[in-house]
Amino acid sequence: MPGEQHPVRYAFPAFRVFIYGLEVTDDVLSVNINMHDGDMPGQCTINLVNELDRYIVTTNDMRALAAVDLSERVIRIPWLSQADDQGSTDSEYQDKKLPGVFDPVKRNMLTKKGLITQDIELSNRTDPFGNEAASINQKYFDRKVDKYPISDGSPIFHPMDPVRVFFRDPYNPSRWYHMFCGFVSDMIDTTSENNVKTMVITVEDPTKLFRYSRAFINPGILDADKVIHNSEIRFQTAYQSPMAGMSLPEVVYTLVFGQNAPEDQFIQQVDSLNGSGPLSTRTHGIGHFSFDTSVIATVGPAPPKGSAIWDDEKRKRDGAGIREGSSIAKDVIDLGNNLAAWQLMLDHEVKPSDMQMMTTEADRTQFGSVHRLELVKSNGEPDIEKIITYIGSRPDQYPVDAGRIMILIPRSLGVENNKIVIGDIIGGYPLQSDATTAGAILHEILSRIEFTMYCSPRGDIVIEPPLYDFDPDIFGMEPLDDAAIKGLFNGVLRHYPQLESAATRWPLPKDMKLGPYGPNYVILKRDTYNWENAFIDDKVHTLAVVAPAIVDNMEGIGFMSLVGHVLPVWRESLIPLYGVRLATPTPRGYIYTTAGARLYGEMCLNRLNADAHTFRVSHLPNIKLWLNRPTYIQGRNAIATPKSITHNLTWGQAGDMTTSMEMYASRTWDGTMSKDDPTRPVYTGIGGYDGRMLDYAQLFGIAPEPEKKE
Amino acid sequence: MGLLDAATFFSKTLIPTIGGRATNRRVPFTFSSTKRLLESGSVGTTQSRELAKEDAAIVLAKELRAIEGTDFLGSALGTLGLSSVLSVVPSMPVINMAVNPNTIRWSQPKRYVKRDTMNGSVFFHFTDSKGQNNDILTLTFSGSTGNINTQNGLDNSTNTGADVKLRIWHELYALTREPVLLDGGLKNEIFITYRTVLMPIPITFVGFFNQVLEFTENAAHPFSRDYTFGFTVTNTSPPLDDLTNKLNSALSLVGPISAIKSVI
Repeated sequence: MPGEQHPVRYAFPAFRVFIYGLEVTDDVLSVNINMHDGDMPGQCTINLVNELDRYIVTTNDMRALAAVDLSERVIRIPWLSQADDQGSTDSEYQDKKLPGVFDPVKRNMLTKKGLITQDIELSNRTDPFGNEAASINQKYFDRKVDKYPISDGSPIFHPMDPVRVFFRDPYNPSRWYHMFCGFVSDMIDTTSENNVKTMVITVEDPTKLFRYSRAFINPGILDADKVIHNSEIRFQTAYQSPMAGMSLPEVVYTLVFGQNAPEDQFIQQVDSLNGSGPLSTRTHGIGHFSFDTSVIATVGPAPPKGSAIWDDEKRKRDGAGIREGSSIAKDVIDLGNNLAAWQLMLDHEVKPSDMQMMTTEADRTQFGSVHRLELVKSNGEPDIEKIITYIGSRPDQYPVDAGRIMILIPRSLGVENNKIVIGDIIGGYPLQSDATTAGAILHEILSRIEFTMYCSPRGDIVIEPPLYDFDPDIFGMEPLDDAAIKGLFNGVLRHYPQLESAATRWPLPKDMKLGPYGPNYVILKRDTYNWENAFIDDKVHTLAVVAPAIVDNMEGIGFMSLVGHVLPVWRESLIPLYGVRLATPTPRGYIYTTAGARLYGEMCLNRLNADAHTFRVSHLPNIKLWLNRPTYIQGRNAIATPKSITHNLTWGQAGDMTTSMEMYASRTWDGTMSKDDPTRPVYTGIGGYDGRMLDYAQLFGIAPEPEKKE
Repeated sequence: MGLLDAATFFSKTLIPTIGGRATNRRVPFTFSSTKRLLESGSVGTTQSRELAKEDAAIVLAKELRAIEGTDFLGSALGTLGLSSVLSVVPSMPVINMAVNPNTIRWSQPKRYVKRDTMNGSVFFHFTDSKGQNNDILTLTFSGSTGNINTQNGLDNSTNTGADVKLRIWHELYALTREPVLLDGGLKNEIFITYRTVLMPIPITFVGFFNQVLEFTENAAHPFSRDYTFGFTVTNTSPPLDDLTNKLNSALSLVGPISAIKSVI
């Protein structure tokens, strides 16, 4: 029977898109989402049909907004002849009094945005010649500025408008997922010769804010107060690195949350189409990320006591993340080896508890029975689609930059381990300020320790170590029912009361289970369209040399032996085939211990060699895929880790839905079986286990021990 | 339109023919548009801009009431007062077809896409809020003008209705050429009332013409012309999903099968 040889399945894709609280789903032609862990923000491209200029302000709309009555006033554009200027001189046009903005969608949007103004300070404004603004330019200035400029031909959306995108699970149509959130970036409005009008909107995720948050390191003596706005981050430190002496969580929390003291916050008015409200904003922080629901978690076993990378002197208590007494003190959750619990916290399925977890800290306890009544079906079960409508249409209550900061750190590296991050020389005091950005600082630090940072589809900023040494089943192969979830709350998640409170107050629908997450990271052959498996010889390196010395301008010195001892890190198992291939990693900071240098060298070689064996896979839509998760590719019996995931959904009769991944750090099977489970193959990277001394699965004690070959 | 009771279910198909006394079971198709209804004052107020500001759903409901609420079966065409038909009006608000189209083709594809994987196939169904993957309904009408020979004098044309048929064809042609957008951004929607033996429940289709009326002048038929045009349906009254229920309810009131046979 053909059906047996050629299985046939059905898929029912759907999306919902909200811009500034307005649902534009019915006008969306296609959505393309790209998530990656690189320096640039993830992007989403939304293609809209712009029928009758629904999303573009027209001349008629401007007349209505400006209250220009053509029966009393003629609009004449001087450079158009009367014959060409058909719009404003046409007698029929002139007979009309004040027109309306006919499209109700456009009318609501422009009415809302047109009312939002901001005061600006004019007293210190000068003209180009240095004279006070009260001179020739004053008649052109206004003390009030429209926050949202509206002009003829401009879109009704504006840059930095919040956007949320949700996808339905095409194989399980009752389940919906957050797929993207961020800010409008670019807009392109196109009209063809046949008057077919479309609009393309590009959206960037909240890490965009990191790119624009300036941080001044040792601001110049002469110009600091003039150049630095009082909301920008300012470091005055004797070290060249602004984060000297700080652990990774402290670095991240300082950049994102600033001081977190009450006096360091102000109230900002936040608007959306369907509401407005006050939002507490940190003066020296970034965005409105949520401090109380953010998580610092450790995973894996602790390093041996006395290990050089575990600095007992810096720890205030076992597992402490941020110093006690600090204004940004925070507890650490120890997950043991339970990465399924970590994924549960990150998971992007739309759940009733999102109503509580995703709103602002001030609003978190306010959602009581009134809201629950609005958001349930007739049988009392939570209505996921109504929850999506509520979250999407109220970005004033659910800001897209109010996600959590989720940091996962292997315990063996020590939460307060800062030996890798810092190690610096005393810098001079510059006379003029040099600005960098919070994003640049973070990426520099994270790249040194080979950590990855990305924005999740829910809007959480996730910082993790590389997880490419694990197998997919570490994320759990069984669904989590109520008993399992309760067990987690009593266990590793007991330090995360907000999650338990939200789950208790907003229970799941009866037939809904969470997880399992392991099977999400399996690409079966029957789901694959095509793949490309590449091995790039040039990327293989077998030797890294690191110099743990404190000397300025080390890179410029010809003989490294003059600067003190250097530490080579080898891949002996690769040398017989590849020879000695030197990687000369140049740490932008400086490492001052041998242990730190060795670790840094291992991380460098891991990172470089990971790019040698890559996969590109295009397959059936899998919206549960996740960055930095070991993913099994059945077609080649290999495990690789996605660096970039792209989902594309085009609607209609010529529609399509695909997912594609770019993956690195491929691990393959060389015939070795596990000693403990002889049916389980062991997957290893280039050079096998011998090719990697820093293997996180081994560090966790869960890497399958290989049967030794005779 | 409400359900018809048993006594009148098929009786409303009986109307007098042009100039004759015999009855004939024919329900004329009617064609109209938002533009014609506005110009005739059947919908809206003199302030058509006020109408334009209303929600589109409210506008459509008003237009449907204007069309469905009128008893076209007792209209000027039924009574055949010639002067009333040829009264001087710029255009007919509602075009009653003197000769109904002889062929109507219904076509409604489904929205799905097949993709092959390495070991199987997947059908992607693009569904609406009701879970249906139906694409847009398109109707293709083909018909003939009937006898449009107006050369034989008024009496003859009165008997054959040639003047009326000629005028109706031109009105239909003009209708297919109307703008889709009126002043103030108001959409000009087209309305077709439809009733046949297969579809005894009257249906009003709302949509637009996907081509101007197409015709060929052929000497082989000197006094009649064939035409065709396509119509894309954006809405119906009642919804097509409700047709079966309504028909079942009406048929259940008619009586035994033998009674139905006599009118088919």
